[in-house]
Amino acid sequence: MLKHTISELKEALICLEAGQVTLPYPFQPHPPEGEFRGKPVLNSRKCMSCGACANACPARLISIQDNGSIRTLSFNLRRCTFCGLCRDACPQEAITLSSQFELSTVTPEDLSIHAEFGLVNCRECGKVIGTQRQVALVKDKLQTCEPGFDDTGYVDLCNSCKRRAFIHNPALLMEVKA
Amino acid sequence: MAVPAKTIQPADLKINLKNGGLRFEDFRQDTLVASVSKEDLVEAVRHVRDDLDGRFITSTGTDMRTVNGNYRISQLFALDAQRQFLVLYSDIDPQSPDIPAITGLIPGAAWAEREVRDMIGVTPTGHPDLRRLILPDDWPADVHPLRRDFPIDERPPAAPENKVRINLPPKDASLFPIGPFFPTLEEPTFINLYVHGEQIVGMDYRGFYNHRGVEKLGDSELTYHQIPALAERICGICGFVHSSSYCQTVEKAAGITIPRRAAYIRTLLLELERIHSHLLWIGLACHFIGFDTLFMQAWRIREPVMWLTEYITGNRKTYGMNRIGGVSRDLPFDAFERITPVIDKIEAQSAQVVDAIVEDASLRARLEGAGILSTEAARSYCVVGPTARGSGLDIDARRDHPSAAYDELEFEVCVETGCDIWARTLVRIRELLDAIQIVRQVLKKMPSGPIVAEVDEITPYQVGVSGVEAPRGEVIHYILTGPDNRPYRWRVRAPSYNNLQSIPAMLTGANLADAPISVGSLDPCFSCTERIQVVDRDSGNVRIYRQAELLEKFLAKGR
Repeated sequence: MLKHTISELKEALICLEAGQVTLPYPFQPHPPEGEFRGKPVLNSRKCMSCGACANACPARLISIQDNGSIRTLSFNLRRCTFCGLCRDACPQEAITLSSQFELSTVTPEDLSIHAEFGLVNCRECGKVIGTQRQVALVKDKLQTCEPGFDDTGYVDLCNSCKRRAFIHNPALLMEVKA
Repeated sequence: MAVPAKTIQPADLKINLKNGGLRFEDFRQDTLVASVSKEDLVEAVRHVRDDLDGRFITSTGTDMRTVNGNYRISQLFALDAQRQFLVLYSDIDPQSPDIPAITGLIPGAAWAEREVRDMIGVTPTGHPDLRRLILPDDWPADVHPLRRDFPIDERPPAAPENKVRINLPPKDASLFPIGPFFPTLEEPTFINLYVHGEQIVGMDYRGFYNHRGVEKLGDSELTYHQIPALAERICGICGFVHSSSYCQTVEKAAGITIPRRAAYIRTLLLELERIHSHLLWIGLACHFIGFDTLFMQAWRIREPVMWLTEYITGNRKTYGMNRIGGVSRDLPFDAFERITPVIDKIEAQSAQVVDAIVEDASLRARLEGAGILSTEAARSYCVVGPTARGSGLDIDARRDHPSAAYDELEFEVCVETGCDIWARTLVRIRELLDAIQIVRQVLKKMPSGPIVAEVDEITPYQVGVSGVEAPRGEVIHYILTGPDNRPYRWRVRAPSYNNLQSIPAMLTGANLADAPISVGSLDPCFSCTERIQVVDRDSGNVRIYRQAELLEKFLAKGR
C-alpha cells in the first residue's frame, strides 16, 4: 500500500514539475524551426519552364501546357506533400520551400501557382522549340564558350532543322572530319 | 557485439530432392538467391527452417510473364545468425497457377500466401483459409491487380457477391465484433472475437481497409528516385524506416556504397524516430488502461524530439531526407550543440516516467500475465520487434542485419522472457533509454565528408532485400530492379503484418477486457472510432455501445 502511494506521489510530482506546456497558438504565432519544408514558392524571374520539376514531382501536381504562343507552368498545391524533390531538381534554383504551413483556405486558387512564358518558334519550320527565356539562356551560355563554339546562329532552330542546317554547312562538316 | 556465425555458402543450400532440389542462382552482398521447383518447395522450406535456422519473412509474387513467361513466387527468409537473407523463388507456369502452401510448416506465412493469391492469382494449394485478404469486398474474383497487364488506372466493375464472410463462432459462443474501426487506436481494422461470457475462445480478422496499392504505383508510375517520398508515407509514425529500407534495398541491388556521413545521419534519424515512437506508445498504452496522466506526460516529453527533427530535416514527421545513395541535406552546423541538451533532458524526464511505471503496482498488476504470447507461438507466427523480444526471441535487425551505421555502434538487444504485455513494456522502456545512448554515440562519431553518392544507371532484374529495425519491429523491403528507371517489383513488409497474425494466439483464453491493451501492446499500425456493435447471435439483437460506454467497460477492470 505504501509502495503504491509512493508511485502515485512520484507521478503527481512529474505533472507538477511540468507545469503548463501548451502554447496559446493560434493567438500567438508559432514559427517553424530551421529550414522548414513548407509551401513551395516559385521565383518566376528565374524559372525557364524546362519542366524538370514536373518530371520529379511524385504527386504529379506540376503541369506544363502550351497554348498558342504561351507556355503555362502550373502547380496544384492542394496535392503537395512538401517532399522538396521539385526544389532539388530545379537547375535555376527557382523553387524554394517557404516556412508557410497554415495553408487552409476557402479559396482554392490560393493553393495554385501559374506562370506564363512566351514561346519561340523555329525560324525555318515554325515548330515550338522552347520559351524565350530558355533560348536567351542558351545564347548567354554560348557567349561564355571558347571561340569556335560560341556560334549562336543555330539556337533558334528546331532539332531537325538544326541537323539539316548542319549537314548543308561544309565548314562545320570539315571540322567534324578533322 | 556478437560475432556472426559462418556465412552460409551456396554449397550449404544444396539438398537432394526429387525434382531438382535447390538451385543456387545469385549471391550479392548478404543476399542469397536460389530457385526451387514448386514440387520441391515444401521440402526446401523445411530444410531452410530446420537445418539453416531460417526465419520466414514474407512471400512475394511477381508477374514475370513478359520476361520469362512465368509467375515468380519468392519466399524470403532471414538467416539471423549469419547476417544473411535468403530469397527462394519458384517459377510458376501461368497454365497451372498454383503452388503448395507452406502455411502448414510456418503459420506466420498465412497472410503472405493469401496476399499472393489476391494480387498475382497463384493459389496456395492446401492453405487452410483461402478467403480474400487484401482486396476490397466488391472486387471481381478473377482480377489480380499486381499482374503487369492490369493498368494502374483501371477501375473494374463492382462485384459485391465476393464479400468476405466472417467465420461464424462455434455454436455456443457469441460474436463480439471490434471494428471496423478499432476503438482505442482509432484506425480501421475489424477483429471479431468469439466469446463465452467474458472469456475469448477464438477470433476472426478482416483488415486492409487502408490498402492503397503503393506497390503497384512503385512499379508502374513512379521512378526509383520518387519512391522514397511515397515509401516514407506508408507509416505516419515510423516513416523514415520505410524510406531508409527502400533506399538501402535499391543501393544493395545496384551495388552503391553510401558515404559514412550519410549512414550516420540516417542512424541518427532512425534512433530519434525510435525515441518519439516508444514515448508515443508508452503514452498510448497508459491511455488504453485508463492511466491518462502518464499518457499526457509521455507525450509532453516526446514533443521536443519532434521539434528537433523539424530543425534537422525541415519537418516534424516525414523527414524527406532519404535519397538513393545517401541523404539530401547535411546536419545544421550547430547540430551537436542543439541536440545534446534536448536528449539530455528527454533522458532525465523519461527516466522519471520509467521509474513511475516500473514501480506502479496497479499498472504492473494490470499488465503482468495479460496478452500472453509464448516463445513457440512467437516463433511460429514469425513476429518481430518488441513483440518478439518480449517473448524471449533474441532478434533485432540492427544487430542481425546491420545497415546504416549500426555496425559501428554499441547497443544492447533488449530481450525479456515474460511473454506478456509487461515484458513488451519493459523491452520498449529499455530500448527507449538505449536509443538515447545511440544518439549520443552517433553525434560523437559523426564522420565528415559527402552526404550522397553518385548513382549510375541501375542494372535491371537484380534482387535486393534490406531490413531496418523500426520501433515496431523489422521493416523489410524487397526489390527486383527493372528497366524504365523503376523497380519491376517492390515489396514492403511492415512489422505489424506479422505481429497482427499472432493476435489469435494472444487472445484465445484471455478476458474480454484485456483485448484492447493486448492488441495495443503490439503497437500495431492500423485508423478512428465511433462505436462498437455487439450482436447477440441467438436473438440477432444489435446493441450499440458508444465509445465512452465501452471505454468504461475496459477501464472498470483496471480499478
